[in-house]
Amino acid sequence: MSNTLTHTRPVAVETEGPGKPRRRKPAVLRLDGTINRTQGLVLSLAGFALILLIWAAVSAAGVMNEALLPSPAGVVGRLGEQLANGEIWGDIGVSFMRIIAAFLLAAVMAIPLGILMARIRFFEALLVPLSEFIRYMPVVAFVPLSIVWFGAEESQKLFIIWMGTFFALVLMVVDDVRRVPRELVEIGRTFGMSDSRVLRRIVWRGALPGIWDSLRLAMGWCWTWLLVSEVVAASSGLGYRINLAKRYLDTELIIGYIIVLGLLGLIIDQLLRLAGKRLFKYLGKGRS
Amino acid sequence: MSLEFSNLGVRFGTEKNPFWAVRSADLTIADNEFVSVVGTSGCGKSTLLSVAAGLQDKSEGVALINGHPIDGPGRDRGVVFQSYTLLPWLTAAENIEFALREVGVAKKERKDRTAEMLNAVGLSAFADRYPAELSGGMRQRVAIARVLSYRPTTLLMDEPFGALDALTRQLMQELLVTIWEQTPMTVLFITHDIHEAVFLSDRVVVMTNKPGRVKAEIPIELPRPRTHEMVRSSEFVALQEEVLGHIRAETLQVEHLV
Ligand SMILES: Nc1ncnc2c1ncn2[C@@H]1O[C@H](COP(=O)(O)OP(=O)(O)O)[C@@H](O)[C@H]1O
Ligand SMILES: [Mg+2]
Repeated sequence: MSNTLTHTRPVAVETEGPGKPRRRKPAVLRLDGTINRTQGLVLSLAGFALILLIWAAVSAAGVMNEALLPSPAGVVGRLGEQLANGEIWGDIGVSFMRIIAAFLLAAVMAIPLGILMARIRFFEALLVPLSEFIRYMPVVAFVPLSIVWFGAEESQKLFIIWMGTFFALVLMVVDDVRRVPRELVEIGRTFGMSDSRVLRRIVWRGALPGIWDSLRLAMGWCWTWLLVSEVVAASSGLGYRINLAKRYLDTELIIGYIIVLGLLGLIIDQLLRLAGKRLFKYLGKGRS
Repeated sequence: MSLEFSNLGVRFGTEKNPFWAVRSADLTIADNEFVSVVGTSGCGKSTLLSVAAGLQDKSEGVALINGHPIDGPGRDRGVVFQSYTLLPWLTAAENIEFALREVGVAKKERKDRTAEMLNAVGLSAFADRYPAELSGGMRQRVAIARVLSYRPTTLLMDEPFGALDALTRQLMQELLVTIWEQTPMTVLFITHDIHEAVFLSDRVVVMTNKPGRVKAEIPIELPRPRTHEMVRSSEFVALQEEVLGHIRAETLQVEHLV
């Protein structure tokens, strides 16, 4: 979880070896080198700028039909319209509610089950092989079935998003929970704690930082499955709007919404990351 | 409290392919006696301690605490492991209070006892630190303070100082021996450090490998209180040599050096 750009490891003093003095590469290019805050910021922005530049250049050169590849300015303008007429807020709101509902459902089921599967052999044998099997079934293949079962109702979206996250999440929770050292469990037992008390007061709490990271990943998958379910059968939401725009060849809106989706995903992930950093401050700098 | 093992066996592995971590082990620890168990890595020391703690079921033989069969863990037996001993999300003080609460100490007494124990191990100033903010030695001192806080009658320690640097380890040994000499308890102390075993114990027990059993018992009749100056006495050195002699042959064999 240390995806910070500012490493502050001391740089070794440059010494000149025997023979000709060697010029060393700048620290940002060295293997396991270092980077300062400004360099980090500039390089990150440069990455974005590069993509934007290529996009602008290709669309300005006119190698592709403008209806197929709109210009960055066109996309921004179209997004501006959506903001002005307020439609985008409704789309985000609907999609967001779906994600939250499905995410919470998956998490509320995966966490207790994962804890039991990780630490009690009965549940491990009963549910781990099953989850591993279902996890490898392609969720997309369930989409037609989901429409047959649920129609284009909310329950259909809930089912697809849940299907896409729950089984992978529960297995990740199992791994997180297994990583709680056996010693902590044994210490709890020597205090005379019952199994269920050890699970609740030690195992669950000890696994929480790992589970938090797994939930962050699961949140990312939710966006993918949300879009899949909305594009195939919906009458509202971001995916529905994208699908509708396809009919009118409104590529400006499609690309605009894709960027908005990326931004929303990024913002939520960063919020969760920051919250995790505060919640688990006790782990110190050594947290991996 | 006394601990007694006779013909003790602990088997891992399958029915067809059994692996005896401990077998035919006999050991008796008297009330308030400090006994260290030394032996090569993997000879079954931790397994023996787990049986005493009630964390590991025996496969055969007898395991008694005060004459009663050991049946699960109990508040009468406190355990200190080498690492992962503190709950990382609780401060030093909270770790002790957690234990006191779980063993059923009344709420108004918990704070006082926590402060008293932190003081006893010299960590009053670190009460509000999280384990990640403490040195390895400090963490083990908190673990010792925690286990002593609920006053078990038997102390089971599995290489508690094994991960510490030499100087810290020495200070911890002196701390432990001082505490024990003031308030005697029955202690089963696992270590692979012969010096440590001789310095702390009333008796050193040597375990052998595959299957783990008790090979030799060396009474340590050094006077108490034990002081750091004693370790240079010819008596101390001779005892250390004696224990080493029992382990050496075995280690050579295990490491395939003979
Ligand atoms: N839960 C277990 N399952 C299988 N084998 C084990 C288990 N615990 C210990 N062993 C084996 O039993 C032997 C003794 O282990 P242990 O008591 O930890 O030795 P020591 O503490 O002396 O190093 C080792 O060979 C170890 O691999
Ligand atoms: Mg061991």
